[in-house]
Amino acid sequence: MSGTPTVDSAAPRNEQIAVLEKQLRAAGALGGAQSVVAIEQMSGGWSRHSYLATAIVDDEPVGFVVRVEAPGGVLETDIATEYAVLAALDQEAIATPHVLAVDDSGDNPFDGPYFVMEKVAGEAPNVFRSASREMLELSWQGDRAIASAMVETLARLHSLPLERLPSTVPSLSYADVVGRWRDVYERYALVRDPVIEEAFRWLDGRDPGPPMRGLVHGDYRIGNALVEEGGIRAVLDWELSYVGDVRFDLGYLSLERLAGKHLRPVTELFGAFAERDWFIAEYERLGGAPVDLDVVRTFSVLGIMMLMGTITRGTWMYAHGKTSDFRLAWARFGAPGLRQDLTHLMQW
Amino acid sequence: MFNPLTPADVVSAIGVTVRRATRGGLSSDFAQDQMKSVVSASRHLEVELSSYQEVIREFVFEAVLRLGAGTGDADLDVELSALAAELQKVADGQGLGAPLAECLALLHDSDSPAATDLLDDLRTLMRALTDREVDLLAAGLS
Repeated sequence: MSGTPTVDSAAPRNEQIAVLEKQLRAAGALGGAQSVVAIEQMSGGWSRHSYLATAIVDDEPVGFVVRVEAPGGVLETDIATEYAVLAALDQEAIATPHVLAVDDSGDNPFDGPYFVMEKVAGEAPNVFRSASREMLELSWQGDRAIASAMVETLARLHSLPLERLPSTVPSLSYADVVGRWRDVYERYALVRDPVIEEAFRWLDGRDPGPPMRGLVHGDYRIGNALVEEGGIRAVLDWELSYVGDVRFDLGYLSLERLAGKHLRPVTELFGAFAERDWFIAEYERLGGAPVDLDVVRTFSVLGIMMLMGTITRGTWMYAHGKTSDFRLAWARFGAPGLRQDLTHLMQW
Repeated sequence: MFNPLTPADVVSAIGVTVRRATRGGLSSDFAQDQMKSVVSASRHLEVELSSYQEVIREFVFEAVLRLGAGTGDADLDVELSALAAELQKVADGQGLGAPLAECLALLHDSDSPAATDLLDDLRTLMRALTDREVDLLAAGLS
């Protein structure tokens, strides 16, 4: 089982810098005499690779993030749509990075479609690290600013009028989302997983009825939020967003995995940042509609199918030499905990 | 159990990754992330290689026992018996997946109460199996 080079095989940095400078000047983010002085790849996700570009503006370093669709990436998501969603959200009271330029051609020094955005201050908490969890716990015990920002942002996102979104944002029904992850399993599973197959049957019998329709983030969690000075500066990673039943975000956020569980739960806090009852009550108050927790459970199972789908696709990519990123092979060790969660959620 | 990539695949992947990282230097964040994943994988692999066989044996024993009780539907029971025989030849967690999934599919296609009961029994066994796997892996990290 071989791997082809991936993240560390990009074209020379000077070509990347030249392209970026041109785009940033066109966007008005760089003056004629200002330049990008450094660019380095950031450690991070599987379906997107990120680069941090530093420019000197008025004698101060200014950061820009280049977000590239990964070759052999885990999820087949559209960089142009992600850019369009962010551009639309720029106009709304939802904290997102300001986007500046996009190149969806793939024929560029970054070896893939990409867009450029301003670097937002803050750090994304890593719920698998105790230091991050302790910070979140302190915030919850204190002023609850992070928890409040997370629930307010989610409620605002879910109530965004859909006509303000670009038409390219996919609209997916419950059955579409189930079907999407079933397709991934059927296409990429290296071995049959009877728990996953049972879970798809379970989901087929749990149609939640009329959807609470809105913009779904698709991967909403504290790990996709930039936190600084006890507040949320931006919500990141919109590549899975779609128009559909927004309760997916609630079900997904309910997963212990998103609160740092690999094999064992590591916190009692929902999403590692709030008590669940408080969060749901606040969401209901802000959104003006009650939340059916049994439906949320259905979407929790669907959320796990998404995570299992990324593992399935990622391990297939590794096994077929599409990537040499060992983390995609490691991901098979993430399956047991998720499988356990499935059996518990389905109440076997 | 039912996990993609065999232990041998993972060992091979570890070797490739370590070789690449040592040749390219370990200073980058990416290389360090890769090595952290390698360390984690080796600890999980140790548990899998030393503990899973017994768990699989016990699971197969219980599953075959239940499949052997039958459903009262002669045709279905013949098919289930054949799958039970396949289960008894299984050597690893990956091998469990297909015969077990086929059993479940057959039972879903039947609407008899006995088939439903057998489905529930197999689900209970699978839940216990997943719990046991997590317990073993977690113990290996502590």
